Amino acid sequence: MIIVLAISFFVLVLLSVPVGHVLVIASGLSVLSSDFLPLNLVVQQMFSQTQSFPMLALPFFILAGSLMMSGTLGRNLIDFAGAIVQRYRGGLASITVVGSAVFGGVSGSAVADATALGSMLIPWQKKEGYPAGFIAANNSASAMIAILIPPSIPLILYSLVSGVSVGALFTAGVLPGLMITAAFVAVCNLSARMRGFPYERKPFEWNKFGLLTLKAGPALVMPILILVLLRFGFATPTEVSVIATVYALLVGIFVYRDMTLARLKSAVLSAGVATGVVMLVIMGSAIIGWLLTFAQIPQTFAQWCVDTLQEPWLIILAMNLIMLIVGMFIDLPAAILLLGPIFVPLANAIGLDLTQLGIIMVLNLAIGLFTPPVGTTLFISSSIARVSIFHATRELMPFYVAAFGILMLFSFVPFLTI
Amino acid sequence: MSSFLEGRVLPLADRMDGAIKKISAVVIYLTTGILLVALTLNVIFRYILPGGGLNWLNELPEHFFPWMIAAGVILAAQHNAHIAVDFVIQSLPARAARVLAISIQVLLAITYLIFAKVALNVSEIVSVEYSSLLHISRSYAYYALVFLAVGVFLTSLSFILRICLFGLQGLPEPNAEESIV
Repeated sequence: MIIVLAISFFVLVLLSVPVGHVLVIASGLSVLSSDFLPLNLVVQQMFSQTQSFPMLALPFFILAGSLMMSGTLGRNLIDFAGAIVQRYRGGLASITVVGSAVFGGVSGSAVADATALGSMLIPWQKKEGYPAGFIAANNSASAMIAILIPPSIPLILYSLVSGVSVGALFTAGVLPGLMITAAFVAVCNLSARMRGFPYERKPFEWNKFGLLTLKAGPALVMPILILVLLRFGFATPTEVSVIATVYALLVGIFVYRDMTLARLKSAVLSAGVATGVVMLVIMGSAIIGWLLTFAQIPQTFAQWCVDTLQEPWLIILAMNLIMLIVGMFIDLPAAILLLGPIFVPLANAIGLDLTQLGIIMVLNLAIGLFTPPVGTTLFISSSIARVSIFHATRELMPFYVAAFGILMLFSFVPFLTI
Repeated sequence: MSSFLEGRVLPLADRMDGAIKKISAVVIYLTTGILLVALTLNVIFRYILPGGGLNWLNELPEHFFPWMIAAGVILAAQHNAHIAVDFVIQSLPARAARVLAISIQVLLAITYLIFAKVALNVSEIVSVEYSSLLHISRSYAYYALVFLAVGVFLTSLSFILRICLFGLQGLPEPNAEESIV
C-alpha cells in the first residue's frame, strides 16, 4: 500500500500533475491497492479537513493580505522602507529587503511579496544602474522574510500538523524574520561597497519620515495587533484572522479611502482561489497522513533515525538536509503537510522543541523558494528583471550564505526560539 | 474534425467554463460574506453577552466552509492555478508536451468522475446525521465535495479540448498573486 503511494506520488509529481491532485490520486490508488480499505475513506478524510475551525484562519488571513496589498498602501510601505535604508550604500536594494519585512506583516505570502515588490522596485533599481541578476536574486531571496513575520500561512499550516499554538509560532517567527532582514541588508551593503553600485547620500529628513510612518502606520500596526490578540488570548487564530480582515476593510474605507466594490470583489475572488489551491493540498495530505499513520511509518522512521544516527545534532542536520532537498522540488504547503507528521515524532524522540522545529522547517522550505530547479520566487523575480535563472542563481550565493548561517543558528541554538 | 471542434464544440466549452466560473464566484462571495459576518458577530457577542457568544453561529462554518473550499478548488482549476512541478513538461518538445498535458487532464477527469460517485454515496450515508444546534443534515456539506468533483471533471474536459486545438497555449496562464506561499 505504502509502496504504491510512494511510487504513484513521485511519478505523478514528475509528470507535472498539480500537487493537490497528485495527493488525491496517489492516496486513492493506495487505498484501492489494499484489500480492506474502502474508497469512502478518501472522501471522509478530505471532508474532515473542511470541518476544522482553525483551518478557517487561512482564507481570512489571505483575504486580509489581499485587501491590504491591493490599494495605495503598497506604495506607502515602499516609501517608508526607502526612508529608513535608501541613504546607505546599497540602500536602493535594501528597500526590497526592508519592504519584504513590512509587506510580510500584511500579506504573509512570499509569492505575493515577490510579485508586488518586484514589479514596483526592480524596474526602478535597474534604471538606477543595479545589475539585473543581483536585484532579481535580492527580490527572490528577500521574499522569504514575508513568511516568517506574522501572519504567516506556512506557520499556520505547521501549527495544524504539529499541534503547537499559532500564537507561539507567530512570536517565534519574528526574531528569524528580523535577523534575515538584517543579514540581507548587510549583503546589499557589502555588495554595493565591493562592486561600486550607484549611491546617493541624502540627509535623513525627520519630518518626511514622520509623515511616511503615519501613512504606513495602519499596515505596520497589523502584525503587532495579531500578535497581541493571540498572545494574550483575546481571540482564537480564526477570530484574529477575521478581525484582521475587518481591520483591512475599515482601513481601506476610512483611512486610505481607496476601497471600491470592484477591489473588494477582486480581493475576495483572489483569496478564494488561493484558498482552493492550498485546501486541496491540505485535504489530499490528510489522507496521506492517515495512511502513513495507519502503516506506522512516522514512528518506524523516528526509531530508525534514533537507532542509526544516534546523536541528536546529527539527526537535526539530517532533517535539515531532507527539508532542503524536499523544498527544492515540492511546493511549500505540501512539503509542510507531508514532512510535519513524519518529523514531529522524530523531534519528540530526540527532545527537539516543536516550536523550534516549526521555525527550522519554514526556514528550510523558504530557502527552497529561491533555489532551482523549482524556485517560485526565483522564477517570478527573474522574469520581472528579464534575466536568466542561471545568472540570478549565481548572484544568490551571498544570500544563501546568510540564510544558511541563520538556519544553522536556529537549528542548534534552542534559546533563539522564544 | 478540427474545424468542427473549433466551430461547434469550443463555443459550448466557453459557455460551460463561463457558467462554472460565475457559479463558483457567487458561492465564494456568499460563503465568505456569511462566514465573515458570523465570526465577527460572534467575537463581538462573546464580549457583550453575559453567557458568551451565540453557539449556533459557531456551527455555520461546518456547513459553509466546505462550499467555499469547493468553489475555490474549481475556480483555481479554471484559472490553471493549482501548483505543479512543471519542469518536465516545459522541457519536452511541443508534441510530447501536448500528449502529456492531454493525458494529465484525462487522468483528472477519470479521477474526479469516480470521486463524484463516491462522494455522492457518502453524502447519502451521512444524510441521517444532523448538526446539533441548527439540525441541518450533514449531507448538505458533503454535497460540496460532489460539486468540487463535478466542477474539476468538467474543467478537465474543457482543457482537453483546448489542448487538442491550441496546445499548451490554449490553457490559462496561472496568476502568481493567487499563490499563497
